[in-house]
Amino acid sequence: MPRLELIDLHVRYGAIAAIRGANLAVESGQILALIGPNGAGKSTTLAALAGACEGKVSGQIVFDGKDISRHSPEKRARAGIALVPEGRRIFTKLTVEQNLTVARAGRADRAEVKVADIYERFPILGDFAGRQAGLLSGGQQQQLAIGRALMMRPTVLLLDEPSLGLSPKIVEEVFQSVLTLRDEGMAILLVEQNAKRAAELADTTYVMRHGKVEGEGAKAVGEELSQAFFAARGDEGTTL
Amino acid sequence: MIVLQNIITGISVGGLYALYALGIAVVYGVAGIINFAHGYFIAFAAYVVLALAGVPVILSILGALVAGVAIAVATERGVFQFARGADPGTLLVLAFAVALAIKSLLTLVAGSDTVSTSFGSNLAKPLQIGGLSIVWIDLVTIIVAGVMLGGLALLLNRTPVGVQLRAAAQDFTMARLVGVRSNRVMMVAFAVSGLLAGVGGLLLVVRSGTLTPTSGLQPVLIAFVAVVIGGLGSLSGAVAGGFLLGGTTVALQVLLPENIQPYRDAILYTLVIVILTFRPQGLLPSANERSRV
Repeated sequence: MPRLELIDLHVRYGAIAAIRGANLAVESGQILALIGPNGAGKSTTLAALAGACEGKVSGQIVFDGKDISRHSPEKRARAGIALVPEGRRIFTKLTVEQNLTVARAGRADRAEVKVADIYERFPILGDFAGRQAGLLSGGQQQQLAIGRALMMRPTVLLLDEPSLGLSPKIVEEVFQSVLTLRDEGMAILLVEQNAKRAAELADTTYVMRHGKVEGEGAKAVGEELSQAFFAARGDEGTTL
Repeated sequence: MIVLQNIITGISVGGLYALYALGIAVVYGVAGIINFAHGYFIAFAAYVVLALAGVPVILSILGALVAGVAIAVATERGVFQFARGADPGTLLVLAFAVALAIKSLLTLVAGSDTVSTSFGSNLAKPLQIGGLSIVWIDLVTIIVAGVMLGGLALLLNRTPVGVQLRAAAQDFTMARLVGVRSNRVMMVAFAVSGLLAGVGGLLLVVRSGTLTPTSGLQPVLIAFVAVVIGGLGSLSGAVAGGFLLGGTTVALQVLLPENIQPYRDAILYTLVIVILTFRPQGLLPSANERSRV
């Protein structure tokens, strides 16, 4: 059974249909990459899964066998779906540690969720624990955004453009952490402009275009698809 | 000596304005509502002090605080929670409607005439320290403002619910996405603003000695101006705006020649216009730090 399944998702912003019948399924210990041109509906799909979509959403979102499409964002978060949004959206005025602790505050098991575990994974965050988060570099902020999501003890991680605005070296570090999380059994849905790299990382790659998921398949097929996608775009598919 | 005395008065009025402004800023930060009804929360708490005339002072104080919190939370539960996500214009109109409803309720129960009270009249007496003559209420206002601002800073920085409130004030949707309960954080924001209104109501009664159902209008206008000067959405900005507005009011009162005194407010608000012309975002805006590579 997939950890998280999206069945016939439609999202409308007024008269504009942003998503037109998208279907996805992601399993534990799997990275599913969603690639596609700007405006294809990738970020909207993630927002709809997390419950943060401002448009009119219809369709089914099934998490661990239960339909959660009517649940509030906080309820989904506590159930185990964590979104690392585009642009990171860390709480810049809070300290690094407060950014982490705020993510366990709503949980019944908050006493067991330790910031030390996050510092072990991202040592730089431990070094800057008392620093105002807005003063961190872009790469550190991305680590904080992922660390904050992990404080929610998620079983599904939704990553929206984690490489955006980062240097290639930092991007590799971030992707290595993503692979580690996958190996630990997390289900990961990755949206990336850096399509080539995303397809390399992913177990499955879907291409999204005009609000629809156009292709799906195993890793090899994903790479073929992404190559076809680059060819269509006429470039290497990287934004860096 | 007279300069020091005026500075103390300036800090006192500034502290009062900062408390008014924080009540607006806390709710605006989390809920995006310019809560025009806040002034009437203050008036409501002040009328409760009047209604409790004759009971021990501590009960009057408790009564005002409970009344402030109760009306603020009731407004959130009864009105604003149903309008979450509405556009700012709708929320402002709702806030006006709530303000009018509370004013009408006060008029219905207490009448529209000015009522006076002797509550806290002892505090109008001066305290002589050396050559200084300080009115007790100024001293009490400074202490109360200090305790409230300090307490609020502790709450916001050191407690889980305070940190959630600040996170929600910066990015409400993101706070929900990390599991912060929106209902809870909204209620806490309104409760804090209600507590500030309760304190404001007490100080209003003691400082003016009279009340009408429209007594809440002036505090809310002051609060609104202070919040805008400080930078809409910024809590520290609201405090700074309150102190600046209060300090300037007292400075103008002291420095202006007597024949120009009637124009004090006109001069004050001209200064406000000048500030906002050069810094339309306010003095300490709540802009998020630019993300860096």
